[in-house]
Amino acid sequence: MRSSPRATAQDTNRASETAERESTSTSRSRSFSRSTPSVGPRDAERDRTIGQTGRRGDGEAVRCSAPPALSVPLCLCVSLLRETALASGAVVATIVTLIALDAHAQSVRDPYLQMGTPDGMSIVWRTAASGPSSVCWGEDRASLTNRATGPDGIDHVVRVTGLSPSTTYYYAVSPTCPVAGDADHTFRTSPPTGSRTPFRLWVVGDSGTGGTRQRAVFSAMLEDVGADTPDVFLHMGDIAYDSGTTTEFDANFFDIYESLLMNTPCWPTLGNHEGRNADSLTQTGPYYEAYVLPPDGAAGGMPSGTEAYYSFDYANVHFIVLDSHDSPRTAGGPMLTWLRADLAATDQEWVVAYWHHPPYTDGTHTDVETQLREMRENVNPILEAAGVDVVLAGHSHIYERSYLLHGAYTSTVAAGHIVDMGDGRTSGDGPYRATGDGALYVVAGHGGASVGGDASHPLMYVSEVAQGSCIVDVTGPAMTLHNLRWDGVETDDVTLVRDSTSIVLLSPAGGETYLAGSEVDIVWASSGASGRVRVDFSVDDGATWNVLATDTADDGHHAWRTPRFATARARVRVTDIADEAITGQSLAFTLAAETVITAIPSGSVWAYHDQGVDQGDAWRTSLGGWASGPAELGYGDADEETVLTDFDPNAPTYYFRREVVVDGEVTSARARVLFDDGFVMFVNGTEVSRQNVGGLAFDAFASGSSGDNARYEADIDASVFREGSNVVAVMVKQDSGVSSDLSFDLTLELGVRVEVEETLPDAGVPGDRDGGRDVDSGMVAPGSDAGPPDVEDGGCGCRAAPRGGSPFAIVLCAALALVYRRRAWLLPLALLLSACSAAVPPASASQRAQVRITMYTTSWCPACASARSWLHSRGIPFDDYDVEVEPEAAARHRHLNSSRSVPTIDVEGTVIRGWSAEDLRNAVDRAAHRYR
Amino acid sequence: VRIVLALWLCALSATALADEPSEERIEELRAILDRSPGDADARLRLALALELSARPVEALSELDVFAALHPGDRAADLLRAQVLADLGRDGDAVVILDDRIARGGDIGAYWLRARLRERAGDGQGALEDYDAAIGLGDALELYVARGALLERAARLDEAVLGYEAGLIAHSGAVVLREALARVERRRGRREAAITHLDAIIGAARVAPRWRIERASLLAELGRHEEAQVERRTALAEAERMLVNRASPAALVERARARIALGQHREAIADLELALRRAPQLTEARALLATARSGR
Repeated sequence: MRSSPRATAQDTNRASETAERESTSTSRSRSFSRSTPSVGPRDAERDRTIGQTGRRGDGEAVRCSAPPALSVPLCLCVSLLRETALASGAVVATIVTLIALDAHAQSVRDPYLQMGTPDGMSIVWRTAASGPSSVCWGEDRASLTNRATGPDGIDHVVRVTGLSPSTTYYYAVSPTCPVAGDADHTFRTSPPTGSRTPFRLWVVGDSGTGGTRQRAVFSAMLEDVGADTPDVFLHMGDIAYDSGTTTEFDANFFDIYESLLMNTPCWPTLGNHEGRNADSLTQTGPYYEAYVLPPDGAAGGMPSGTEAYYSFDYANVHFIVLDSHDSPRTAGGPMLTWLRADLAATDQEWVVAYWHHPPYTDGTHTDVETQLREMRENVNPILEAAGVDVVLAGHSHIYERSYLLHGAYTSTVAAGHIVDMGDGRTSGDGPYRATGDGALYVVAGHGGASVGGDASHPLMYVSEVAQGSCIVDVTGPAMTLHNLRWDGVETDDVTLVRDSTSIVLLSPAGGETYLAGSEVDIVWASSGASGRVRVDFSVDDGATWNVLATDTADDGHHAWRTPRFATARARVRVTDIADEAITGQSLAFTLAAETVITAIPSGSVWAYHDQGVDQGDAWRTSLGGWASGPAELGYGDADEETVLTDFDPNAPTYYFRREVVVDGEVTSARARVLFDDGFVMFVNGTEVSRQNVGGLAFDAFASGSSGDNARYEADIDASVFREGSNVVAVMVKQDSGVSSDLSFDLTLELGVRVEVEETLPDAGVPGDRDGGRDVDSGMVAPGSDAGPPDVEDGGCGCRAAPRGGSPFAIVLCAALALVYRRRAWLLPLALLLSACSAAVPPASASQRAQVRITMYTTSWCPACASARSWLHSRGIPFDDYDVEVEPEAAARHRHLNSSRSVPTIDVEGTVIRGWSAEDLRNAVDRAAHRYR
Repeated sequence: VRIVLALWLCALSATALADEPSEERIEELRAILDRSPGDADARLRLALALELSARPVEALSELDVFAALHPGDRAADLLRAQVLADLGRDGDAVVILDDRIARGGDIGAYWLRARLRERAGDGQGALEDYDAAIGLGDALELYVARGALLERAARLDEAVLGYEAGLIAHSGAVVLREALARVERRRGRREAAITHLDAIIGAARVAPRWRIERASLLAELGRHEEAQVERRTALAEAERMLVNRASPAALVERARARIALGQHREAIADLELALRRAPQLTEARALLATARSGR
């Protein structure tokens, strides 16, 4: 998904003139500093919200007359103190102000991103004491030479502008530049507006409890996406329970999502809970302090004049964010007038709208409630007439996903409103067609708060009462939404396809990990294409492409033997050979040197012998000659896919076997067996597991009864597997001659490791030239301006050399540096080149495997996941300690890294704080050279 | 003291009612009040929940009890005024608001009274309330509402001044720009109207409807060639919208451009199709009538 930065001539020019350049900067007049005399309600709508905060009492309201930043605790305390009648009004005001000041003073927020655009990004943070607002940034992590500033203060907002689209930048909060950046603080600018650059959204609603389920939902997302983290974070509101105070925002949003927020801009909408202490009319309160949103149309769309509702563009999608809680929802009101104008001013391919209160739901809320009904009746007709594609919401704590709908404004029954009765799944009835005559409605109010409801709305195709979040992949003319439950299980997916002519990649879709060198089935669906397609792959996020098939049938499948090359940035694409514009591209997936594969999935086809005849021993190591059928195999339970012969009296033994081809060295193996009543499992003739079996003789029954469909799961000896063909054989036994049933299924997971090449092996297929690159080899041609596939190992301007870190490259760079030093104007270049000599020559895989590495991590930190992935993909063993779980490890972690940032990586005494592939590789290779 | 208050805050969070279904929430609040009839907070929350569940009569009943027990509570007063207004009892609502404002008004009270005064035909009174509200808080909605009131009263110069002030305060909000273009045209200041339309067009990726408006103004100024170019540009942009998203609204935009270019038959086809797909598009009906009349 994340395209490699394409360094353009423009970039080069800019880089050469960036020393201490003062970038355009803006500072936001944070709401606490606005001279707003009151944040009182503007109407009863606002007061309804106030009512929810627990206000009560008689006497004059001491009502939020403090600056807005103080208003939250003030309101709460006033309410509470009144109730308890423990203090007089004057005392209350004094104490409350003290508390309020204290709450704000204690609020510290690490840098996070806001308002990403193709040419700019806002970096926002909060400090305990007033200080300078200065950000250094650049494309070269080692030297952030550009600077942008804002006014001094506690709340800092620095807008960095003049950036290139789809480009990764490093940044650091620092009063002086240049400064070296770290690998964690990066951002990627939005693609050019209107482009079909694939990207990923994360959609979360009603998360802000700070509880374990919220964290689990976040972790599940990180685990699922791997290195392909979301480009955009959409929050459906209820970000900070219970009342959206500063403290609650810190604890339930900023602290929890910190690792994501530093790399990914969040675009929120106001929920009713943070609405208790926010005022949309005056745009004050902790919610409006926390976010920097575009009232002026600066991120695309028309100026709304308010941060309460706004719009922005990302690639080919126009996002509309409405305020269903605290802005008037009337048809002629400013919000809906703006909405009409905004829709009339966009020609983006996709329109996605979201707000807090869902128009349709049967969860913890029902759609008869006022806000829900008004949004449905007043907003939906406008959106649907303008061809909105997806409407997202939260509020109701449930996951609900509709059919493709149209026209359900006053009535929410199914009749007459369902445009497409299918499931919308590429693997099912097919994607919904986004023709402008129907929209998909999703309730994603399941981000952490307790879930519930009847889950039986007639307009919803799927309803699930479980916490989770949605991952949306936009790949040009296709948009796929996945519901990811908190436990990491994907429970729903739905795809919309924009064009009548399109190609949609189904697999790999992005985020998968395949063993390098293994065979992958590329699967796609097409509509209206010519019938012939070209298939390409990329190992560098689509910066360069390698042809797999120049002209093949558009039959939806292409078997691809992947290269023995490790990358987390692989992609595939399928293009209509008659029209290059009709193309589908996957998001990034991983080719790894070591991974766990499901060698035998549940439900696989097995050869079986069910004729009650002794097969001796040879059957365990041979293949062929038997009948075959999919699991579950057996008889007597009425749940079998393949029904075996049921003798009377029972035959004591049934035989099953199948081949497993392994593309590398098996490092681990785990089997899950469904059986009734006993089994023995063999791999290549060696027994590896058994349950309820005494003797192996054909006529011996199982040693006990298992009960129906018993399950057994265990690690098995990995050394019995060999690279290439293996025979997995299973003997299943009845417990007696009169047992009524027999069952068998087996799942086998193997950890497999392969040796990978340092450079992309020859793809071995006819190639062509693309942008100055040799597509056969995937190498960057001399003079080309883009990076090699694995940028963390190269760099230093030595990209044309076979490998940046190779001894040859080092010598070459050093020699060039010596020559160049004779000319002063070439000094910077010389320094750059000489930096190559600091690179450590790569060690061999066997050397690397001997290095002792200890990582201190958490389960939720994406940088930790990246570090793990980097080590796994290179077959480098390491110890991984979760510092939130293991106290002793936490103590060691504190000793090594007083800031306690994660990951902290100890490579035989060299401590790396944070995640940097380059630093880690250097440290590993430096240590590895001590070994033979 | 801080520890005590912190504990109170925690207690409040812990006891705060979760975001639960309205009916369950109502029942829960009723149960609380059965146990503790004097629980003011529960009563106010119950009133709110009832109002949000479109049960204003019951909400008012609870608010009446609340008001009797806790006279002068501002939040309750405003909610009560709103509920009364929802029930059509504007006079009773205004009495509450008058009292509220007499004891120190706020934006909410002024704004609600302004709307009620407008509804009662008291334009001047409403205007004074809008002014007072704007004086307390720089809110977009207030500028829009006040401007609309002044437009209806044909006090166009004041409307322009108000909209312009709002435009400065609110980042060039398109709703205020559109209003200014509309009022300037009414005032006969076509160049000024064009300036505002130019700002809108400059902010838009496509702007067929505003280009048609601009073309119309140009034609009124006798700049016919420019007007024709603008109409063609509008048509091209509408086509682009349709290519990317063939929505009923995009069909209406194309129809508008086609009408301006005299392509009435094609416009009628677009509008009929748009109305078949989105019958709620009242704008399409008006345009269809125009197209059929050949104007």
